[in-house]
Amino acid sequence: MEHVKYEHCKKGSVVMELVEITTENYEQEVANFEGLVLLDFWAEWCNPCKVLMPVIEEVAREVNEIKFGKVNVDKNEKLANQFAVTNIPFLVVLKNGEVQNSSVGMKSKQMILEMLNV
Amino acid sequence: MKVTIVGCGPAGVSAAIYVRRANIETTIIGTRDTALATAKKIENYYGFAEPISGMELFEAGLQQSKRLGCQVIIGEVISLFADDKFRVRTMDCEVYSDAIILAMGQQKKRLDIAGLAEFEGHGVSYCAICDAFFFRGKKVVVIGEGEYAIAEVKELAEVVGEVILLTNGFLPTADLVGISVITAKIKAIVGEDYVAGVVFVDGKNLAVDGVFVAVGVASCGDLARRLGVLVENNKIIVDEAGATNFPGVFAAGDCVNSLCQIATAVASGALAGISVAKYVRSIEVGNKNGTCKI
Ligand SMILES: Cc1cc2nc3c(=O)[nH]c(=O)nc-3n(C[C@H](O)[C@H](O)[C@H](O)COP(=O)(O)OP(=O)(O)OC[C@H]3O[C@@H](n4cnc5c(N)ncnc54)[C@H](O)[C@@H]3O)c2cc1C
Repeated sequence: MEHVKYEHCKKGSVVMELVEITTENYEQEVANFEGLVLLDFWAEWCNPCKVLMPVIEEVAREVNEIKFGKVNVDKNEKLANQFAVTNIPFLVVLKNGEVQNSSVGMKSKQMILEMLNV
Repeated sequence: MKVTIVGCGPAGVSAAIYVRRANIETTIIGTRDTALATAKKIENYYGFAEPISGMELFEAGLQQSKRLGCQVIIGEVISLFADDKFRVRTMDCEVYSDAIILAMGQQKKRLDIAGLAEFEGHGVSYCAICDAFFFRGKKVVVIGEGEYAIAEVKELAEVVGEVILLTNGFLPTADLVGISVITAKIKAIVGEDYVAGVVFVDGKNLAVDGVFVAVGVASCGDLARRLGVLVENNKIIVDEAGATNFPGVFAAGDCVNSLCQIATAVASGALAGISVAKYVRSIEVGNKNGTCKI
């Protein structure tokens, strides 16, 4: 189901939803994914996260070859711990399951594109 | 409709003058601790046949804004919230408004302690309200010595297991009743993946799970971070109208400009003042049309 959303975005659908990454589907969706993934760690109570999310969605609409996911830290504490996250919004870029780089705080579209090196 | 301006230097006052003259209720909150007040002799600002001291110019600006009907609150801003309205909080009061201008001068230099930059995002934080969640039941420290640090300690005390204030060799400038304090100078923040402790210059160690930084007064970057306003290289990012990426938040002066001068602060303040007036008018029209809920 979640994967279908990603397929949608690959086809350039305007209704872009980031893949919901959870502790349970992380292995399949991220660790075993061949290629680049950008994960956005967020929470309902985090104001900057709410400002950042639409920016990520905009990038996701434009960059088709990369998988974009979001991780709700309230619901996925184990995953947040795995990435040693203690500040959000926290962005991490992975290539073939390996962490390439990460950042903390609000980012512009340009900064995100630079993180992705596209 | 109401606008709050944080900072009462040349940028804040200049902005306030334009907002007030657009007949919008205007509050300026700031302290006398400004770059301008430290300038002894100003010879390059328009209109003074003889040099004027920064302090004189600062006081004249405040008087001018008061004469035009701005409310001036001398106080330190410790936090900023955006709900239905913007809320600017000082130790003593909270001011509500429909839009804000950040005109808080240059961001102070970041603390130079080994490990601080390395662990940012992995145990080092610059915002208690944003990150306290990750330290539920844990032991954390706040580095700082003034009202801002105390406010961060209180914010954390609600959530974490234990919080200690580290003044890093400085004398506390605020009331510390009921707060655990260590005044020793800090050498480094240590750990592996996460922060694990603080090492002091005297060789002592303190095991902690998190380090919050709140030195001096809250800077424009500190307040911007709470909302998700973009900051790059210690400057708030604005468009040509002085607007940030966050609707209703504008910025002006040294916290935005690369050329930090009175003339540029006044100019960007005027621009932000005009833009904020347009912005509040537009949301007012939205309200009347019933298209915008405030
Ligand atoms: C020694 C010195 C000499 C200078 N000489 C000249 C000169 O000759 N000519 C010239 O053009 N420029 C000069 N400058 C630069 C000039 O002073 C600044 O560019 C100008 O003051 C910037 O205005 P501003 O309003 O952006 O910031 P500031 O003047 O720094 O004002 C910032 C305001 O924000 C407030 N503030 C910040 N944080 C908080 C908080 N947490 N809560 C509440 N209030 C807060 C401060 O209290 C202050 O009111 C000089 C600067 C210095 C330091």
